[in-house]
Parts: sequence; structure tokens; C-alpha cells
Amino acid sequence: MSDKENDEAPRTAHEASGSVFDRLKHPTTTGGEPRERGRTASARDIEGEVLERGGMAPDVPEKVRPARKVGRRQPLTEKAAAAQAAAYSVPSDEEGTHVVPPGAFGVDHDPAQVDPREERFAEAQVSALFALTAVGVIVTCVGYLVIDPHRDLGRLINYAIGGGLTLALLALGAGFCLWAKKLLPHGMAVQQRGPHHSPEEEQLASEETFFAGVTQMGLGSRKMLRRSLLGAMALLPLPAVLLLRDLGPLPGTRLRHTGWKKGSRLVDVETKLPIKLGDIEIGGIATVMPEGFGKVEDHALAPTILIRFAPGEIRSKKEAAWGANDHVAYSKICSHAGCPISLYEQQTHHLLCPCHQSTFDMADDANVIFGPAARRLPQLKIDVDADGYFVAQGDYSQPVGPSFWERG
Amino acid sequence: MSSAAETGAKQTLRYVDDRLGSANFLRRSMNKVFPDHWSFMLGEIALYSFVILLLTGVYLTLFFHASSREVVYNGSYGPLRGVPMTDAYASTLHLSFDVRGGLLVRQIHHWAAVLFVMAIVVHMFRVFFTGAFRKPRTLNWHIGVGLMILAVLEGFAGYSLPDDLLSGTGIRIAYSVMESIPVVGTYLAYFLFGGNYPGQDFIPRLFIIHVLLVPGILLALISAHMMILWHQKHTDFPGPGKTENNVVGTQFYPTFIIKTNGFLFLVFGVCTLLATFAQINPVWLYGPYNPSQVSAGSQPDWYIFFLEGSLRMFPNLESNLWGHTISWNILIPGVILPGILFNLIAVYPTIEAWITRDKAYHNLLQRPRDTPVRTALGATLITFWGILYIGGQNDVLANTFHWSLQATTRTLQVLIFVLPALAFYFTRRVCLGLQHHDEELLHHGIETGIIRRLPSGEYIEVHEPLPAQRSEVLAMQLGHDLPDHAALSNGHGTNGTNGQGIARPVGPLARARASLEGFFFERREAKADSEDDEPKTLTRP
Repeated sequence: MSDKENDEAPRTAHEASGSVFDRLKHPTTTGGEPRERGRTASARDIEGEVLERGGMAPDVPEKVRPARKVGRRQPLTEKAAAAQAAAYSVPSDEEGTHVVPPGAFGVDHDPAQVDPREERFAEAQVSALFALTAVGVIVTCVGYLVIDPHRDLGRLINYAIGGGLTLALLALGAGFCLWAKKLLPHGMAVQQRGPHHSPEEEQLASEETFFAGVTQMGLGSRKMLRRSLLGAMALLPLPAVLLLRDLGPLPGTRLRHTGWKKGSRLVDVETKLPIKLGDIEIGGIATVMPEGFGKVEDHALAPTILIRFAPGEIRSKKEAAWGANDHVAYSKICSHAGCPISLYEQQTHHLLCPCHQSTFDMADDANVIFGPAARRLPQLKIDVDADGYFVAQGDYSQPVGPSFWERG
Repeated sequence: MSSAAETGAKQTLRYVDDRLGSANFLRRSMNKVFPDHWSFMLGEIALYSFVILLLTGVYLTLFFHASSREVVYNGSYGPLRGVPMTDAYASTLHLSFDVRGGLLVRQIHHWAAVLFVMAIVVHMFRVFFTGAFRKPRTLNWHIGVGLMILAVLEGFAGYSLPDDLLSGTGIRIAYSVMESIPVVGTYLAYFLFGGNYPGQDFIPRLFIIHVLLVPGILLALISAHMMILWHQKHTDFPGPGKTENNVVGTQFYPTFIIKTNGFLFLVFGVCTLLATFAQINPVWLYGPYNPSQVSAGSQPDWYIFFLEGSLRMFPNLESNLWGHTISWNILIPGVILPGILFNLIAVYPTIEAWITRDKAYHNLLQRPRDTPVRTALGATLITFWGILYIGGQNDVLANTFHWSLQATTRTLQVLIFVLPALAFYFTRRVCLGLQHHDEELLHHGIETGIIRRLPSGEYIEVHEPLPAQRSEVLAMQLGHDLPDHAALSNGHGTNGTNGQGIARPVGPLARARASLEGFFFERREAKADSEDDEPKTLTRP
């Protein structure tokens, strides 16, 4: 304690026990002597008691002593401490590695000292594991050659060769680990790290070399050279960029067209048959494509969902006007991330996208009622032709699917 | 070793050394010391799963056809016979059902990929929470972040290749995310896919990205990562006899190399075990890709969940200005958020060193409790990521527990702000509490449970002093974040920085730094208030 602190400390018990505040600030023992606050007396403070580790108090029987163990490592024995000190005091040799006895680090188990019988047993264990590897390999090979690969959809051969291989690999790995653990020397080694950076002279020398080169190249002084070089280097990537041009067509207005034309019949995507008035029951839906679409992959923006409502269920006037006979057609491609929307709830007329759960109220012009989608689904104007088939009155009036910069 | 084999080995070593002069390097390498701690295995798991991925991946390329050409399936999987599909999907079915062991190798590959990303992430946790990223290992942290991002991309590319219904849906979303980028979005998407989604060109292009481009970069970066590790030597936790200037452990040859090889086989064995008995990505159940279909409960691999979650949870913002549309509801959760997240992770070491003015070299690791603010920041980020992860399966959760989907999503939208803040607060409190406990242990020793009465009548509990070695280590651990940079400064004259003589902060940046520094080292002030022990002398290496 410094002198200053001494000055502030109370001189008498009375002084110290004046107010609660003072007592808290300058605690005293019950005897009135100043005492450090917040600190219980440690064994060291008790006069006349020498408590040694492990021998806490003579009257406490061995077994009921708290089995508190701090850390896993044992304290150093004198001999080990000496060995450790010696190991660190040795200047690092060329490769910087010394091997020190395990005891130096408080490792109580020294595999080098094991009983030879134990060592033979360990060897047998490791060898047994390696033998298991061989067994696993044989199981794999026999399974591969003998089992009918089509039996039970290939499940059987998969179990046989997979099981064999698993056995082989796990046994091999376990064998290696056991070998390292039980039979290899565990003497701890110490290696000096050495500096992470070069000596300062070396840094200076290398900087000097670098800048001498810069001077010689004249990039600082020869302006014309520098500028023409920069210009040339700036142009050089141009051919590379240009060569990438033919990776694909320019977007143009392609994202605005879906393949629907005036008069295209609505064709069921599965049966490829045109859909007639009455094919869909009230509350039913169908996924449709324009007639003669070929493959869906070629018209990935075209998938459309045709829904039949009960009369009077459609709440939006525009929706009813764009539909025909209580049937309406909406794009199936989500206006959020482009997933095909597929979950329709008949009672509520909600259409839910399974990817990100955007929900559209199909009775209210596909209004977004939940989820990350920001726009209604575009509606396809439809009509019924003379033969009673549904036909499109044209392409979608706005781009289908997720938004993009040029969408407008 | 028999003498013939010995002579042979000697001759080989001579042969190599005569040409490369490698004897000294070889001897130093064999004697290299590696410290021992279970958490150092995490990086090894990542490395070995990469080896497994290369081995199994090469096998898969022998059978996979990276083509969108339409074929009619005619293999031995009955339910899909006669169905038109792409060659990519058909060859995946062929590999799974008509090549003996093909399914096994495919599943090992997929499980190893899942393990690869997982091991990388957990390894990063270890490096982050122990401060192993600090100088001089900053560059290796940057490389590691790059590896993590590439591993995620590589995984996504991998499960997109079979062109089943699930992977097609993932690609469709990726296309939309690309489209959402302002100005260049549609061009990017068109050039990558060769036109409108899905097109014929994407699968072959993705294939070459997956099997050549990204693995090539991964391989180069992993080599650099390992070489830097080798050169700088591994970090270690403080322990008896361990200092900032030495490495204590086992030598590379023979003990470490045998152990680590065993570990390689164990990792391989675990992947094979999973591949044999735990089905992963059964593409035949999903069916071929069709842009007009999607299955409910579409789920990506685990490392994409956070992106899926951010897409699901973000509010539906879109703006239309001057004839241009920006869909913030995709741009922010799909592009900007992961961009910020990954960049923050990458620059964190620089930010921390700037705040703490720490220019010293660190070879000894810290325990998470020794740096409460860093640990709390890590917990905050993990919690944030965790909510996004859960958000990626809100439909599955709602369905499983019969919750309302809307309520689930709205709750997560609130929790993503609340829980990270709570995580920060509680983690910091727990760290400070643990520190306090350690201080107590260091100063007062261990409680023995023995109560004694002093001559003055006072009862005290007898404390047993800590073993010298243990208290030395503890002091080392607790003292690590003390900001005495004068002592920490590496004596690197040219840097011209040490803790002494820092002028009063001038300018807003410097003031911000000063207050952040106080925040980071809060513990010191807290301690000064609560304990008036004589200042302990910490032994610092």
C-alpha cells in the first residue's frame, strides 16, 4: 500500500465504524483493524497454519475432502520443473526443436514407460483393427460381385459395399489413432517460433531494391511512357469482355413475352388437351400453356393458372371483366422470385407460393395479402371461342415473373 | 526395417536431395511441432472432406452427362420409365440405379459437401472466438473467408446439377436474384444462362464451374492457407511452459502424421457411414425439372438456408422510379445482406485491431471469456444468422407444430432484431462473470469448504492457493486483453506506434475509435471499481 492510501485509511475502529458509507469504504475486521474489502482471508493469512495441497486439514478424513481438481494437469514435480527450465534455457538449435520429457509439462502418463505386456497388447489391438480393414474390403468386393444390383432398387448392394467400406475406413482410422496414442513416443517437443517479420535491415534493403527498380523503369519520371502504358493496359481487357458477348442474346424485350398469342387455346400442361367450358368444376384449378407449346422449358414464363369461381365470388370488377364465365387466368410464375405457385385454397381463394410463402387473394385480382411478393400476379385476358374452348385474347399486358431493372 | 528397404529408402532420399537439396527442409519439416487441442481438428475435418470431395467428384464426372438435351428415361427405376427429362437428370438416375456403387459415391460426395461447409464454419468459430485471426494471421483469415464463400457457392452449384425438380427451383430463384441487380441484372442472367430461364446452356456451364473453375480456386487457396499455416506455425492456448515465442506439442513426424492420417480415414469412414445408411438428396423422388411445377416444402442444403430465410422474411418493398424497377425485396435479402455479412466477417480483424490499437504479434490464443465484446459480437452474428436459418424453414415449422404461417414469419421478423441484441447482452455478461470468477480464483484461491473461526471470533472459509503453474497460466489468460500496448508493441521501429504518448483524439474518427476502445476494454474499468486489491503483477511473455 502506498503512503497516500495509508493516509485515507481510518486510524481507529470508531472512525471506521462511523457511517455505513465509511464502513463500506474502509472495512474493518471485528477487531477494528482495517481490512481489505471483498477479500476473504486465504490460507496464507492464517498464522501458524501451513496448509499443503492435498493435506488440507488433519481432521478431515481423506475421502470426504472436496474432490476439486483444477485443470487436468498435475503440478510440476521439482525434477520436472528443472527439466522444463533446462529445456527453455537451451538456445534454439538450427531446427529449433527440442524434445523434453513428458513430465516437464505435467503430463502424468508417459507411454514410453509402459509395461512391455501392455505394449504387446496395444500392438495386438492395432493389428486387429488393421485386420478388420481387410475384412471390410473383402465384404465390399464380395458384395459388389455377388449381389444383384437391381434387387430392392439397389438398396442391398448399397448396404453391402457401403457397410464394408465404412468398416474398412473406420477400422483403419481407429488403428492409426490407437497406434499414435499407445505406441508412438509422446515426448512433448518445444520449438522456438522465431520472428514473424524480417530484420529491419532486410526490410530496408528490399524496399530500396524495389524503388531502385521503379526509378530505373522511370514510371515516375517518364510521363508519356506511363500514360501510354496505362492506356494500353486499360484497353487490353476489352477483347476479353467482347469475347463474352456471345454467351447469350441481349435481353431486349424477351422478358416481356411469354408465348401467349391472341386466339391461343388454353391447353392443360399434363394432358396437352385444350380446356373447354365445364372441364373445370367450381373451385377447381388447372395449369395451362398456350396451344402447341412443345416443351415447358422453352416457355418458362408461360405457365398460367386457370381458376373457376362460383358465380359472384369474384370481388374485382377488372378481374371478372378479363375472365370468361367465372373463369380467370393468372400467371403461375410468382412475382417475387419466379417459383411456379401451386398451393390453392378453395375456400379462401388464396394462392400460396411454396418457395417463400407469398400469398395472393385470387378473388381480389391476385392482391398480395402476405409474404415478400410486391406485386399482384399478372392476369391473362381470356375468352371462350365458338366451340366452347378457352382462348387467350393476347399476351400478358405486363411482364410476368420477378421484377427487373428495365421492367418499368 | 529390413536392411534392403532401409537402403532403398536411403537411396530415394539421396536421389531427391541430390537434385533438390531438400534434406534440411525435410528434417525441419519432420521436426515441426504441432500443438495439441481438440479444436485444432476442425480445420482438418474441412481439409479431409475436401480430399474426399475431389476423389468422389472425379468418379461422378465419369458417369454424369452435363447436358440439357431431352431424353426419354429407360433405366431400371420403374416410376420414371418413359418420362422425358434432361440428359443430366437421366444420367444421375443411371448413376444411382444402374452403376454398382454409384449411389454410394454420390451420397458420400453429398455428405462430404455438407460436412465440408459445416467444418469450415465451425473452424471459423474456433478461430474467431479464440482470437487466432489476429496479427500475424490476418491474411489467412481473409483466405479462409474466401474459402467459406467459395465452398457455399460450390455446394449450391453441386446440388443444382442433377436438374431435378428441387435443384431447378433453386436455380430459378438464383436467376431471379440475378435479375434483381440494378442496371446489369438482366444482362448478367442472360449471359450466364444463354437467354431466358432455363435455356439449354446453363447446365454445361454450371458443370465446368463446379468441376474445374471453383475447385481449382479452392485448391489454390487451400494450398496457400496450409503453406501460411506451416510457415507461421500453429497458435496454441496458454499452458504450462507455453509462451508467445514457442510451440509446445508433438512433432510432425512420426506422431502427428500418424494421428492425422488416422483422422483422414475416420472422416472418410463417417462420410461413408452416412452415405450408406442416411439417404441424402433422393433426386428420383423429386422427378425431373419442370418450370410449371414445384413441390411444397422445397428446402435447400443447410448452408443456403440463411439466404432462403432472408428472402422469406424480408418485407415486400419494390420501387419504380424514372421507368426503372428495383425489387428491394430480392436485392437486399439476396445480394446486399450476404454481401455485407461476408464483408464484415472478412474485415473484422482489421476493425478490431484498429479499435484496440493492437499492433502486436499474437501466437497464444484467448479464451472467449477473455474478450467479452468480441465474443458477444460473435454471438450476435450467430444469432442473427440462426434466425435467418430458422426463417428458411418457416413453412416446415408452421406445418410441424401447427402454427400459423403468418404468425411464425411475423414473430421471426421481430426476433431477428430482439434476439441478437439479447445475445450480445447475455454473452457479454456471462463472459464478465466468468472473468470475475477467474480473478477470484487467482487472488483468493479455491474454496475448500472448510470454515474456521479466527481468534477474533470471525468465521472465514479457508481458501487453498492455486497451484503455482495454474495461477501462472490463469494470469496469462486474464491479462491478455489488457491494453498495455507499450508492452505488447513488437518493437518494430518503423511502425512508430506504441501505447505511450497517444495524443488526445482529434477528429470524429479518432473520437469514435477512442470510445469504441473504451467499450472493448470495458472490463478494465469495471474491475477498477469493484476491486481494490493491490494491482496484481501479471507475467507477460
